Amino acid sequence: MRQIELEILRYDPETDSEPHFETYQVPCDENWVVLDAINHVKDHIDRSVTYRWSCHMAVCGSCGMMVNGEPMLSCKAFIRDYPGKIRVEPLANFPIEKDLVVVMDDFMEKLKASKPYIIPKEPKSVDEGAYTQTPLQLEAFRQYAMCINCMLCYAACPQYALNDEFVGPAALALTYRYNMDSRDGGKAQRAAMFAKSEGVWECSFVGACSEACPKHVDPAQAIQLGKMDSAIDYFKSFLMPWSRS
Amino acid sequence: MAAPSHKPLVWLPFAAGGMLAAFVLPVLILLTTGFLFPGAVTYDRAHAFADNWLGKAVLLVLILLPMWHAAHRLRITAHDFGIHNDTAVRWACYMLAGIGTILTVVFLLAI
Amino acid sequence: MSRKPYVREVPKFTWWLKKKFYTEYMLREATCIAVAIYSALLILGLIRLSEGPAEYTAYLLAMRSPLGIILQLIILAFALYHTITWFKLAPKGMPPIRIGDEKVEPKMIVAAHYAGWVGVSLVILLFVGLV
Repeated sequence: MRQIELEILRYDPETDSEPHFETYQVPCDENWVVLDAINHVKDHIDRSVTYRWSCHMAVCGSCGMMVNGEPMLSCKAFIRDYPGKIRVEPLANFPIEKDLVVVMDDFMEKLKASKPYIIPKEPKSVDEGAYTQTPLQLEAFRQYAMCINCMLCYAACPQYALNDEFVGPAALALTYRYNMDSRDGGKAQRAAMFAKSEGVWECSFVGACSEACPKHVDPAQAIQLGKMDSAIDYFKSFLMPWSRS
Repeated sequence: MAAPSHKPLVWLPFAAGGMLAAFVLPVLILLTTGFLFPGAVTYDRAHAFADNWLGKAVLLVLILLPMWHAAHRLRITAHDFGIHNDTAVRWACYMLAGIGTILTVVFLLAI
Repeated sequence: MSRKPYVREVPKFTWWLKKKFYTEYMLREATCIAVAIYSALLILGLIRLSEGPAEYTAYLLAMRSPLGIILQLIILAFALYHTITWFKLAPKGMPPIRIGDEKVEPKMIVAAHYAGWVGVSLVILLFVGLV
């Protein structure tokens, strides 16, 4: 058992003009994660604390927040790794809806625009069988398919912080993931958002997204490879105009 | 539909120049400071090196690629300071690199 | 329930001082100033070379004066930082490499860059030292 000092950024849109920190004394089990501590506050100290969570096992991607200034899944941030007091804030770079809940409309729009689903080259009927894939073809994108849309990479990205027109790490990595899928033929449909100025080219390769990613997706790599891919397409369209799709 | 960005035009020299700079700039500086082989870049030797097409081609790549790398990165740095409507910055960075390019070509040919 | 989202402003000029990771990134980007100055020095050398022996020798003496050395030492420090950061990110900048069924580890790719760097530097030094 360890007594921790937990600071939570509170904001009630109905009464507050700006957010403020509130401090709670939380008796923690050695094996607790930050989310457990917040749940304790909600259950025993202050029922009004508002936050999102669901699976408690780093799969659903809904409990992302800033823990001592770093974007983390609060279900994956162990109390034992934080010797001093713990300060939690809503994910950076997103507007605060209430307390630890952020407005995620912007990300949702971008996710939708990236068409993160297979667009077959030629639709097949069920009779024709499945779209098959070799293990090597799977390896071309598997890592990028691990994204759980937790938005930690957006909270880590300084370019998104400076310009929210930027499509951003997760949506671009997912676009690249489907572009690289041997079963997919939708690259041309995704090119408009991918190869525009606010697409891969807004990225300056800070690399913070890949540091923050709890699923080791490495969006920075996907975007770098996406730049290379877009550059090749760009020069191709000049050298071989007939190849333009 | 958003038009594809023209960034590849400056990004490829940026990437190639960054790679080249990473590999050769440190050793090049050791030569121009004279820390290593101080007699290696005297007038006679430098002139002999730049007096043929192969030498000129090597110098052209060695000077221009890192310079265009720097020009593009400088533009990005302005962007990092929140200058997003960057027409003036863009012109300044790429025009300086353009002047450098013209000077390099002209004086390489003059040797 | 009325919605009134609160937007936290990001300081446009000082955001990169907030985290060491961001500061290192900005330092990495700042290396371009050193590279640009060195490019200008090289172009100046080229101009002096085309003008004749006296002009070029004066240029070389200036490059090797205390001021020239100090300037180039600063440039060297930035150039080395550029090399280190460039190699560190190299595995993210290239498609995964496979040997047989095995994916080559990122740290092996970085190591290969350092080996290549030593090799290239030695070849250049051999060239200027022997030819």
